[in-house]
Parts: sequence; C-alpha cells; structure tokens
Amino acid sequence: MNAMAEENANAAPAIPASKQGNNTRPGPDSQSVTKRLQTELMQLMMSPAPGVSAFPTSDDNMLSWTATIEGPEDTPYTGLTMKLAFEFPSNYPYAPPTVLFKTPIYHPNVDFSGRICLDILKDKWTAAYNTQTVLLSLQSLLGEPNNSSPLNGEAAELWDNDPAEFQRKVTARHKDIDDE
Amino acid sequence: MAVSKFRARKHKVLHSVFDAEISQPTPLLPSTEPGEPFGGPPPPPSALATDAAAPRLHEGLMSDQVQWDRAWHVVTSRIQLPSSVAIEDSFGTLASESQDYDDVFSSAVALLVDPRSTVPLAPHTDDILSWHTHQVRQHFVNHVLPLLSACSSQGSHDQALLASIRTLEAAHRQYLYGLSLIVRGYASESSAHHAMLRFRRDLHAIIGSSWTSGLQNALRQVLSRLIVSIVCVDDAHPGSSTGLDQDERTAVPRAELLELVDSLQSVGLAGEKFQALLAEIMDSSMQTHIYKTYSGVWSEPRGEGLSAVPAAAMLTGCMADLREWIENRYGQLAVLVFNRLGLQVKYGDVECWKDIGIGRLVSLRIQELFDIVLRWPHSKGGVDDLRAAVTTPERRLQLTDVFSATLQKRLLNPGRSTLSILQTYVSMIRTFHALDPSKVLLDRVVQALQLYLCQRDDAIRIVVTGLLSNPKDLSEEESEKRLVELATILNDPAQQQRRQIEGDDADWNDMSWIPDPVDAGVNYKRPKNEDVIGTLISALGSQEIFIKEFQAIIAERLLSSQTSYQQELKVLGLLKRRFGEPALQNCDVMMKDIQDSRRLDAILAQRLEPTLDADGHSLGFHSKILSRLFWPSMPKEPFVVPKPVAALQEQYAAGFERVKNARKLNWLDHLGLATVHLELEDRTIDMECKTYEAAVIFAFDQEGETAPVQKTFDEIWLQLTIEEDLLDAALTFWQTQKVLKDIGDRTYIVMERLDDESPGDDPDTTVDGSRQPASARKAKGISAQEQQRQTVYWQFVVGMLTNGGPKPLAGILTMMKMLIPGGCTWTSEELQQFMNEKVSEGNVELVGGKYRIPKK
Repeated sequence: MNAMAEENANAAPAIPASKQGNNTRPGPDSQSVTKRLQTELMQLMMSPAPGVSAFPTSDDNMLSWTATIEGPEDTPYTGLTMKLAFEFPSNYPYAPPTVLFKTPIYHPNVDFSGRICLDILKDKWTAAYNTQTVLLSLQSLLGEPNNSSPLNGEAAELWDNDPAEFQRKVTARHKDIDDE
Repeated sequence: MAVSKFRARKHKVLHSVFDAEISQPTPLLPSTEPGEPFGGPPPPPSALATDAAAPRLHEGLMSDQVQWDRAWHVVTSRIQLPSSVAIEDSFGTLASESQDYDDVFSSAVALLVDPRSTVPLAPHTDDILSWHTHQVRQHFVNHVLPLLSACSSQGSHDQALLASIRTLEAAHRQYLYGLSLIVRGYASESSAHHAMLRFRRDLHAIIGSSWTSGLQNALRQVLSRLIVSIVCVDDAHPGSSTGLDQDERTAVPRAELLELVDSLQSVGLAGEKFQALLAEIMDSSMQTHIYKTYSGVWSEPRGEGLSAVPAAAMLTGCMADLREWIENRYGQLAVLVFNRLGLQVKYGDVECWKDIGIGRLVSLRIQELFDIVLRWPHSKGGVDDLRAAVTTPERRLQLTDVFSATLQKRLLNPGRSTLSILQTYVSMIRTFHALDPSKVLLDRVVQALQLYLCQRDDAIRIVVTGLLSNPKDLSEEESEKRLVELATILNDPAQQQRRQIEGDDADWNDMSWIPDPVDAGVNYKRPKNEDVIGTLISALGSQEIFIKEFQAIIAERLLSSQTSYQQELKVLGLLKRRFGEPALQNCDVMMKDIQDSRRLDAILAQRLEPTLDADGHSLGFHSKILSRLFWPSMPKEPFVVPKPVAALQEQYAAGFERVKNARKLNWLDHLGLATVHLELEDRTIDMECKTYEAAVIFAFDQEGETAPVQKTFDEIWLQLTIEEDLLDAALTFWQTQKVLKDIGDRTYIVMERLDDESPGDDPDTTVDGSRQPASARKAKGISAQEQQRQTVYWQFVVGMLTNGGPKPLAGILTMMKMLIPGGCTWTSEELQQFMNEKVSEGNVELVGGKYRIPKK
C-alpha cells in the first residue's frame, strides 16, 4: 500500500518556501523575492481572508501589487472599498513594503496623499509578516485608529468627539477610483 | 491622309512580294507600229543595218523587244508548272533532257538571263528567275499546301510524315527542274550558283513557313518516339548493360532518325521551327528519362559507374549516372543530329545540359522528399543527391516550401495517429540532419509540425513512454506501437558522448568548420549532432509541460509492481542534462522516495507483529512512502479498509512515526495492490488485484454462512464508505472474474459454484463492461484534479479583477501564465469557456470585451 508522509515540522506560515528545501537564504536576490511573492500570492489565492485581497499590478513586475480592502462592518467605512498600492523592496521580506492608499480616505492615521502611519510598516516590521497580515492590520486600523500619533489631527479629533461629522467627512472624501 | 498613306504602303509591300507586273506567262506586246512584223521571227540583223540611222534605232528597239518576247514565251511555256495536281506524281514527269534542251530553248534562256547585253534596246524586260520563283510560290500555295494538309490527316503519324515528305520532295524536283533549265542560261558558273542559292533560299522560306499543325503534330510524335527510343533505353539488366548492347539496341531508331532529319533537311523542313521542335522534344525526353529512371530510386543504380567517371566521383549514385547519361547518350545524339543540320554543339552546351538535368533531378527529389523521409534510412541515396545539389538559397527555399506543403497534406491531418506523426518526425530529424547538418532546413519545415503536435494531447506521453520502454523486451509488434527507437538512441553510448561536447561555443580545433548557412535565422546556433531526442522534446512545447507529463508517467511506473527502475534513471539523467537539475528535482525526490521506502519498508515490516487471519494465513504488508509535496497530486479516496489490514496499517504507521520523528503517514488506500486468496465451494482463487477490489470482495466474506452471501450495492457502499465509481469498478471486476454475479436490482451474490452461471451469459459483454467503468474512473480522477485547479484559477481571476480592474480575456490569460506557479495549462479556449460559465453564474460580467467583478 502506498502512503504519503506529510511533513508537520517547520510549517510556519510565514516561510512556506522552506518546504522546498534549499532556498530562502537571506540576501538581496531578486530571484528569491519573486519566489517569495509568488508563494505569498499562491497563499492568498488558496486561503483568501474575507474583505482583503491583493494581486500583482502587471505580469512583468512582481514587485508592484494592487490590494483591495473592504471597509469592516460597524465602522464608518462599512460598505466602502479602498484600493492600495504595494511596492516591495528588492530585499523583501527583510524590509517592509511601501503601502499607499490609492482611494482617497479620511482617517486619523492616513494623510491626504494616502501615506499610512502604521508601526508594522516601519520599525516594527519583521520578515514574519506578509502581504496578507499587512492587509489584515490595515483593515483593523480602519476600525481602531491609533489616535496617539495621528497624521490627520482633525480626523483624530472628530473620531473622538463627533462621530457623526467624522462619518460625513469619510463619506464625502471617499471616491471610488476608476478601474483602469 | 493616314489611311491613304497606309494603303500606299500596303500596296508597296504587296508588290514587293507578289510581283503582279510579271505574273503573265506571255510577255507584253510592244506597241504595234505600222510595218512592224507581229510575232514573226526577228529579221536578220544584216537587213536592218542598211536602214537609216533613226528608223534603224527604232527598228532595233522593236526587234529587240520582239526577240525578248519570243524568248520569254519559249522559256516560260517550257518551265511552266502544271496547273492542276491531284496526287503527288501528277506534278508531271520531267521530260528527258535531250529531247527538251534544244538550241532554241538554250538561246532563249541565254537571252532572258542577261537582257541588258542581248537585247539592250527592248523597253520591257523581266527577270525570268523571279518569275519562276513567283510561279513556284503560287503553285506551292495553290496545289502543294492542300496536298500537304491532306497528307497530314492520313492515318498514322509515320505515314502522314512520310507522305508529306514525299509530296515536298516531288514538288522540289519539279521546281528545281525549272530552275536548272534557267540556270543553264547563265554564262558564268558563279552567277548560276548564286541564282541557284537564292532560289533555294526562297523556296525553303516558303516551305518552312508552311507548317501545318497536322504535320507538326505528326513530326512531334515521330521525333519523340525515335528520340525516346534512342535515349531512354531501359537498362533492364544493369549488370550486363555495356555500351555495345545499347548501341545495338539504339542503332535502328538512330538510323531512322538521321534519315528523317536528312530528308527534312533536303526538302527544307529543317528550319527554325524544326529546330525548336527538336529542342522541345529533346528537353522533354530528358525529363522523361529522369522521371522514369530515377523516381523512387534512392540507391546507386550502378555501383561500378562511379569508378569509371573520376570527375563525378564526388557526386553520388543517381547524379553521377545522370551526368554520364547526358554526356554519352543524350549529348551524343544531340551532336549527331545537330551536325546533320550543319550546326555545332559546344562543349559548354553539354555542361549546361548536365546542370539542367541535375536541376531536374533535384526537383524530382524535392517532390519525393517526403517519401524519402518515410523510407529512411533506405533512401540515403536520394538524400545524397539532394545534398550535393541543393546549394543555393533558392533551391533550399524551394525544398522547404515543397516539403512543408507535402507535410501539411500528408501528415498533419486527423487521420494520422500521433505515433505515426512522431515516427515521421524522428525520420525527418535524421533525414534532414543528413541533408543539412546545420539544421536550418529542418527548423524551417518543422514549425507547422510542432504547432500541430501541441494539439495532440498524447504526444508527450508517447515520447516519454518511448523513452522509457526497453527495446530488448518488446516484441516486433509491440515495438511498432511505441517509439522504441528513442530508447535505442538513448542507450546508444555514441549519443551520450557527443552531447558532452555541446556547450563549447568555439571549437578552435574543428578543422571541418564551415560558416553558418546564409539563410540561417538570427538566433541560429549550430547543432553538434543530430540529437533526435533533444529536437523531439523541444518540439513538444514548453519544458514545464514536458516535465509535468514525465513526472506523471514516472509516478505511475514507480508505483507499479516493477522492481527495477534502470530505464527511468537513465531517462531522468538525460532529462537532467537537458533541463538542468533543479527542473527535475521533484523526479529525483520521487526516485529517492522509492529507494528509501524500500529500505524503510524492510525495517518496518520486520517489526510488525505477525498477524494471522481466520484461516491461519499470515498477512504481509508493505508500503511505498512518498513525499507528498514532490509527487503529482493524487486524489485521496479513502474507504474502510478490512479490519486485519487496518490493524496492520496502524502498527505500520506507528512504527514509521517512531523512526521518523514528527512525520506521519497518510494512507492512499485505493492506490495499492493486494493479493487475494478466495476459497469458494468448488474452487480457490489466488490473484492480485487493486486494494479497493480486495476490500469489496472482503465485504462478502462471512464466516459460517452456508448460503452464498448476497449484498446490494448500497449496503456495500455504506459499509465501506467507498466512492461510488470505485465500488462500481470493483464489482464489475469481480463479475468478470466470475466471483460475483449481479442478480438484478444492483444486488450481487457470490458465485460459490461456477456451474451456477446461467448459460445465456455472454462472457464477452462482461469483459467489455469491465473496461468502461475503469476508464470512467480514471477520467473521474483527472476531473477531481481539474476541479481543484479550477478553484485555484478562479481565485486568481477574482484577485486579478478585484485589484487590477477589468481585463480582457487575453490579459487574464497572460497574467495567469506568468503568475501561477508551474504555469497555466489552459488554452485561451478553455479559459474562455470557464469565464463564460462564471458569467452565466453571475460571478463576473463581460463589459466592452473586458471581464470585471460585478459591484455589490
């Protein structure tokens, strides 16, 4: 009879590529970045998280992705869809990707050009994070802004003091960017 | 004005040809002055001399004129041609000379020939020669031409030709007779000769331009018959064919031909038209000879011919033979005939003919190339011919064009099996390598073939099984069904060695180096050897697909009960050299799995507690342990394993986990083999079967029952929790083994005694029945994989469209091909179909040629 041996060891989700055995040695090797991103993509496709998705923007550059976040329930962003741009550095995952909101968003931690203030995209980044975890963090950031270090002071204030006005500003600012 | 001018010119032209002024046989009468004798003999000159000067002059004028007229009359009435002719002989017999040639005539002729000196005073004189020419012309047109056309419509071509020649000869005699009479009047030999020549030339011009189509046809037939019989003698006995033999055989037609040419020459039919005709026929006879002698002959027709012609030593078989033929037979005949016509054949002409002949041979070979390929290697001679002659880019282009067309027509159609296409391809690779080692020609013709092969799903499978087959094990018949050739090549050490040289771009010591062919493409790289396998593999599409298929096949073979995997290892080694180690890493691991598990299995099997079944037979248990990640995905189809086996499985798995920490076994229950021992009332059966088949029959095992066990399909299904189609396949299997019987309503009963079988049961139908479900099962297995693939692909499409915005079908496909690990195996059509399904399900929408995710 035939049987399959399944490896249960070292199945850390962050480094699925290690199953292949020999690669993922640290180093700015574009081959390994591509490989890693390909694996991440595969993972995103195989086990999609609700409300977030990401995909390479074009077929010739694996380092540039477009992501989509749906506004979580019971937040001012319910029913809205936000687009983001991911730019992966060539030493990814040893450095964080640059993430920008493409959709105009009114949020205490996002400025008007879409830049995001999130610790895991800066000094708290580790190689164990991946695109999916970043997206999930951002999704939760929408519901729970970090008002101690706002990029948009007005928004932080309104969030705390005038939820109705905040909601109005969010709706006013939001604009679906056209596909293509 | 233009019209009148034209008319005047026309008149002038007409006049110059048909001299109307001198058409009358009787001369013009001079003006009749009083006292002038009419028509009588001229008065003696002495009488005239006494007269006065002026009248004398006048009188002399008169008498000269009369003299002239008389002479004219005498001559013209004598040489006038008969006005009516019915048959050739009625041209009139020529009067005998002595009787005819009297003094009167001769003096008259002499007078007419040179009027200026004999009758200087006559005002009206004419040229008797042109008169004769003119009458001959008229006679020819009015009498001989109708005769000729009558002749040419006669019976056979030979007869027609002969009659025509006779007629013309008779006419010739007649015309020349008149001429000879006239010519006698000339005083000097040279002017007579001159006049003769001029007349002849005129006559030949008339005759030469009077070809009737019938005559031409007849002549063509006769000539080609003669020439073909001289030139294209079949060498029925190549061994005994000496020059003498041929000469003897061709002597008769040759003499006949020369005779014909001679007579044509003498009657003036050997003009330009005849020469053109002759050239045409000679030309076609060369064609006929080449096609008759060399088509389908791809080996040397005459081996000893080579040494006899040292100049042609570098040329091969047919080509040398052809050159020799042109020089000795064709050229010889041409020289002979041309000499008769008074023409010369230059040596250069013969060389030129040789070139033409070889060109013809090559175009024949080019047309035959496909058959040459099919017969390879028995058709080496043909390829040699081509190689020696196909040297210019034009000819190479012609070759590839013609071959591609033939290929399209004869090979790339649905009627051909993939195997035969592949076999032809192998022959093509070899033939073209022999023809053109630079591989440029092959590359040009195989594109269509490669495209076509991509449509054949089984192509890769056939190649891989061919590679993996063992040439020694297979019978003749079987080897025809596979590409065993490949395995032979693979095992050929010469092939292996040569490949090692590859990779070295510049071999400075290669003394046989030649520049790349001019028509090579941009990315051309000179191949070092014919490399059948390499070319074949590269033709089958991308490397990934090939490796994937190879993996699937090798997985199948590794899981079979085969014990040695030498051939597989060899092929794997070959592929590694070709594609690189990393590409075939999975296969390596698979191989290693099998080797490892053999060792591990030995250890684990020892540790198992010996288990005895109810009847005291011991149960053996062995497994192959595969690393899931490296094997092609195999769908898991579990079922309830018979209890004793399950117990063993557990023990085995526990043993494994002890040996290999942190790993556990996942059983693929349905992929194994089991040896089954069945004890029935009248017989016992020992056989090997699939595990699920064994499980199904085990379900019928009930100790202590006397009546045959009976179960319904649903009962077993529930008991084993087995896939329905697996169960179906197993039940059918046991029915064909005559162990179970369907007693209707999907209820099965064990056939304890064979004679229980109802006589009406046709074993054939049951055997047929067994195959169907098996293949259906296989299809199901694939479709499960396909199902999974569709899910993944769908996720990709959704991700792509959600984030990247709407995309056309082509865009989606390129993205998928780039981004899905291992590539997207779908074609554009498959994706289209898939997307259409999703559109109809409402999951995507198609707007303006682009797909997008509908907004909620």
